[in-house]
Amino acid sequence: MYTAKITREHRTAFVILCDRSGSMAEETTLAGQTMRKADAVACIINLLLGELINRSRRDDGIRDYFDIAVLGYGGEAVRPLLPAEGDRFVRTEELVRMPVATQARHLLRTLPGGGRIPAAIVQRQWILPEASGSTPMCRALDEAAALTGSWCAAPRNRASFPPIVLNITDGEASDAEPQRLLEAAERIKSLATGDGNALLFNIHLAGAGCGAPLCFPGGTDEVPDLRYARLLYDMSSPLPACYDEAVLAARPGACPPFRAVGYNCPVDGLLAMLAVGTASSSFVP
Amino acid sequence: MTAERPTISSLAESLLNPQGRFRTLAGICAVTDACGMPRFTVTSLTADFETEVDGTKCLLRAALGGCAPFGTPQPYLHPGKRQTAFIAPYEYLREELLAFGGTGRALRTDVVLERLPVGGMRLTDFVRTRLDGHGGGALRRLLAGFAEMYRTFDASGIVHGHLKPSGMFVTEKARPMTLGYLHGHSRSGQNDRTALTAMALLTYASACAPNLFHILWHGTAAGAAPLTALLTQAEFDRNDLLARAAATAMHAGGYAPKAIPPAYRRLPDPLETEALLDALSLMPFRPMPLLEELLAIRTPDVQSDTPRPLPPRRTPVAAENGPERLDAAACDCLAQAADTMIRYCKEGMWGFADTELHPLTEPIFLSAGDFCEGRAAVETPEGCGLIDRSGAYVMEPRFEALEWYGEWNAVAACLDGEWNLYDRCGQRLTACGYDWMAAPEEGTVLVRRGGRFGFIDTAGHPLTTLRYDEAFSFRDGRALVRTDGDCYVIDRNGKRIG
Repeated sequence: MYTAKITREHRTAFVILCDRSGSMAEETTLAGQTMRKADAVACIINLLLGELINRSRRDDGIRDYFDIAVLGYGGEAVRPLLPAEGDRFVRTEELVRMPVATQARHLLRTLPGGGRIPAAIVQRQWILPEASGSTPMCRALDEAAALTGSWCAAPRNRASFPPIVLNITDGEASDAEPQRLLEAAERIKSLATGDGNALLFNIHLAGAGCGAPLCFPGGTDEVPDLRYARLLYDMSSPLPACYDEAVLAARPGACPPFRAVGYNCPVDGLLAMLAVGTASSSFVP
Repeated sequence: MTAERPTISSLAESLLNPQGRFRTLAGICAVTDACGMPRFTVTSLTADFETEVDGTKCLLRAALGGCAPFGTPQPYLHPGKRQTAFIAPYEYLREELLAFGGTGRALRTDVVLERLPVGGMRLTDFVRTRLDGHGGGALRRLLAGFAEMYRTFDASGIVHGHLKPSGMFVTEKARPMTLGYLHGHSRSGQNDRTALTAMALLTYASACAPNLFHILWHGTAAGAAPLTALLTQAEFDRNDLLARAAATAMHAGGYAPKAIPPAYRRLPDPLETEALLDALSLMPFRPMPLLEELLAIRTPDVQSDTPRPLPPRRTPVAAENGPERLDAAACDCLAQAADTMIRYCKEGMWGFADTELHPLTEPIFLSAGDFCEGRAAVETPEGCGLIDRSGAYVMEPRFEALEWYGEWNAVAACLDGEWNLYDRCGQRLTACGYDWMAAPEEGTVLVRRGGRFGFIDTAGHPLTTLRYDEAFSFRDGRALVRTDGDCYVIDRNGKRIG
C-alpha cells in the first residue's frame, strides 16, 4: 500500500481546502513581511502550485502527473478557486496554461552571517486572497469527499497513489457540530484506490497569543488537552510509512507513526507542512 | 517546523539572484526562458538548471528533497573530477548554493556543475541536423564513438545507469559525451550495454531512413512499434547484426519477451556487445523501404517547418472490422455525441466511434477532445495532434500541447515551448511563435512573448504589437489592457477607447 509510482497514466490528486472566512483577515508575518493571513495563505498555495508544476517538468515538457483542485470556503459558500470544468480538477499542464496574473515580490534575505541581500521573485497568482464571513468547513469537507470519491471511482485512477486532501484553516467550523465534522472526515478517509485510502491533512494556523505549535504528532500524548486540537487529531489520517522521511526532516528525532495534523502552526511554517503533505509528488519515477 | 528542504522555486530564486549565494561560482548566470524564468528539467531526485559560468554553458544539478545530495551514495560516484573524454567534465561543489526555504531560513546545498563543450549539441539535435545527405561522415564518427565509449566505460569499470538520448551530448568533433554521470543510480552494467546499443541502432536507422527520424527517436520511448519494425526489416534483410541490435534495444525498451523472437531473447554479453557496436558503425547506410512501409510513413520533408499530414501510426479499425459495434458495457466512458462522433474510453485510453458505435479508431489516445467541424485534438504518448473524420492525422502527434478551436477553424499548438496558430489543414498561420496563447475570443487571440502581451486575429495576423504589460481577451469588442500601470480599454485595432 502507498507504493504506487505516479505516472501520466496513473496520476495522483491533491485537493486543497482553504479557509477564507473573516478571521483570515488577521495580520501575520510571512518571510518578514506583515500581511493578512488570507494573503499569506494564498501566497503559499500559489508557491505550492508552482512547485507542483516545477516537479512535473521533464525533458519533453510539463507532464501531467497531478490532478489538482483548490476549494475555498468562507461565508455561506464553498467555491472552486481554479477554473475547471466537470470534475473540478485541473491537470498540471492546464495549470501551466491558465492565464493568470503574475506578481513581483521583493524580499530581503538574511544570510547566515547576518548580512541582508535583496531578492526579486515573480509569482503566478492562481489563487487570490479573500477573507469574509463564517467558516463552512463541514460543507467543504463534504465537497472534498464528493470530489475525491469521483476521482477514486474513475477507472484510470484505480491503481493510482491515493488522493491527498489538505485542509488549511485558522478557526473552527461554523456549520457543524464536532460529530458531524468527524463523519465528514471519515467519509474522505474511507475513500480509496487500489493503493490505499485517501489521506486527510488538517493544518490549523496559529492566532495571536496561541500556545506552542504541534506538527505531525506521533500519538495522542503529544496533543494538548484542548477539545479542538483533539478533534483535528481525530479527523486526520494516520500517515503511512512513506511519509516518515519527510516528517523526520521536519521533526528530527520524532517517533513514527505520525498523524497528518498540525495545530497552532505559524504561517511561516505552512509551506514546510504542505511540502510534507505533498511529499507524494516526489514519488514520480 | 525546525528543518526544511530546498524546493525548485527556492533554487530558481537563488539562480536569479546569485549575489552572495554561491561560494565559488561568482560568475554564474541562469539561462532563462522568454518569461525570465530559469530553464530547467527535473527528475524525482534532482533539478538540472541551464546556466553559464564565465561564458561557458553548464548544467547545474542540485538534489531535491533533502540536504543529502543525490540519494544513496554509489560506490562508483565520488566527489571531485572524473577524467574521461566521454563524460562531461564536472565538479562536485560541497555546500555551494545558498537557498531560502518557505520560512526564509537559509539552507546550504551541494551542487554538481557540468561544463558543456563549446560547439556541441544534444544527441537528437545532432542526428537530426546531419540527416541531409551530407552528414554521413559525422554520423559514422558518432557510431564509432559509441563503440569506443562502451569500451572505455567497460575497461574503467564505469557504470552509467542514466544513459538516454536526452542525456547525451555530441561534441563539435562528433564524439558522444554523457551528461548526468553523477545521476546514475544503477549498478548494473546491462544498462550501459543496452542503452548504447539502442542509441547506436537509432542513429544507424535514422541515417538509412532520414524521414523516420521523428518516429524512431520519439516513438521508442513509449515502447511503440518502431523497434519491432526494425527487427522485421533486419530479418527480411537477413541481417543478423541488425536484428540482434534491435532485439537488444527492445530489451532496453521494456518490450515483453514474447515480442522478441526466441533466437534473440538472450542479451548479448559484454564481448558480443562490443562486436555489435563495432559492426553497426561499419555497416553501410542503405535505404529501409520495408521499415517505411511497416510504419506507414510517406516521405516527409524533414526540413519543412510544417510536415505533410501523415496517417495515424496505428491503423483505424473501421475498415477491417466492418459493421462490428462497440460493446458499450465494456467501455469506461461514452461521451455525448459531438459533430456526429462519440468519444469512448476503454481501459483508460480514448478512441472515436460514430453515433451507431461503429469504431473509427481503436482506443489509442491518452486523451481526446470532442469532434468539432470535422476535426478533433488527440494526445498520444508521442505528443498531441489533430485528426480528421477518417481518423487520419491532419497534424502529426508531435506537439507538446494542441487546442482545436472548431468555431474559428484554428489550431493553437505548442512545439519546443513555442505556440503558433495553424489552420484546419495544419498550415502554420503565425509568422513567429509565442510563449503563451489564450483561446480565441471574437476573432482575436491574446498572445504573450517575453512577458509582453498583444493580439492577433484568427488568421494569425497581428492586430497590435506586443506592447501591453497585461491584457485580457476581447469581450463585446473591447479588451482591458495595462501598460506602465495605466489600465484602459482598447478596440480591435488597438485604439484606446476608454
